[in-house]
Amino acid sequence: MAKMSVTVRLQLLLSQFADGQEVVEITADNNIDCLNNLTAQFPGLRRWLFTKQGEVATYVRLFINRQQASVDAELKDGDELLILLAAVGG
Amino acid sequence: MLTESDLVRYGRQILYTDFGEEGQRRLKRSHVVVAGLGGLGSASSVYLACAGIGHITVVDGDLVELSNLNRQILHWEEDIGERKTLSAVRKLAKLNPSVEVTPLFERITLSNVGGIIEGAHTVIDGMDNFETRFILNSACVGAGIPFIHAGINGLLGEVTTIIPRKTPCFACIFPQGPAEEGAIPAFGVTPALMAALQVTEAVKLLAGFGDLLAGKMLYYNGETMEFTVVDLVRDPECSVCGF
Repeated sequence: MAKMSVTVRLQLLLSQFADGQEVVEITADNNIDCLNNLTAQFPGLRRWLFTKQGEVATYVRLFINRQQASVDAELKDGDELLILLAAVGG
Repeated sequence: MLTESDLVRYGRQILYTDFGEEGQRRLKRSHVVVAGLGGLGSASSVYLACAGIGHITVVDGDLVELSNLNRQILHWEEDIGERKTLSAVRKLAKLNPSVEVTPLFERITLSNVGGIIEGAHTVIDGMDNFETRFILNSACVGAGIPFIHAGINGLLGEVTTIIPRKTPCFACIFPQGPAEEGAIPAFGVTPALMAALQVTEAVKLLAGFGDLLAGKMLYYNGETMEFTVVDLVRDPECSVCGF
């Protein structure tokens, strides 16, 4: 099955680990596939998105076309995946 | 009952059609808890007092430090070493003496949170850590009290309004918090802006008009000046509000 082309939008904090790019095109079938492909392309992102045990960190939030989505949600061609980290400070 | 002074002091907001004198009366009857008097809580308590919230409880267990002063606008150079709660009460009383302000100099814990939020109509998140936000969220969901969350990091901010059992709660959105990472970058303007949005939400909620960020998270990126609103979903297996 052909992989889907997805537009990934990175929060400012994350974009600095993707050569300053806030928008990246990634080929993937689902969110976890997309995160793995994204971090293969930009290894510096891995420690922000995954735990040391290799699971997606719980403070990472994923939105497909601005709707909150689970880690294993499927992606369609042309979807936009927004990746945000929680803002902890006050 | 609004006094002659109230009608003058709040006259410009009473002019707002959907708010009016009834909106002002509702604010006057309201009790809001501001949990934390850092960058967020400093700004939100100022605007809550300006708006005429009848009773504000301010909670913080810290003393004012020099490193707070770039963003915690309620605390000044002369307050260094003083309890943040006393610093806050002094300023808020000068700003609007008709507002009752209760200071609670304590850290929020599982054992005291119930008493702190009891009787409040809404709780404003002014915390700087996840652990206490989880405690507040659980207590607010349990007591049916709306919890208006905000968080910041540098020039990034987020705001959402949690209505217990109706919207995703904080634990739906963040099942666990990130590991503690030490001091977080903070400009004063970011918490000020997020706090202004929190008070906007509180005023609408308490006065009963407008649309809330209920089930939605507003993200702010000050570097690119983008505001993004996304839809949140309840987690049916949420440990706090699961159904």
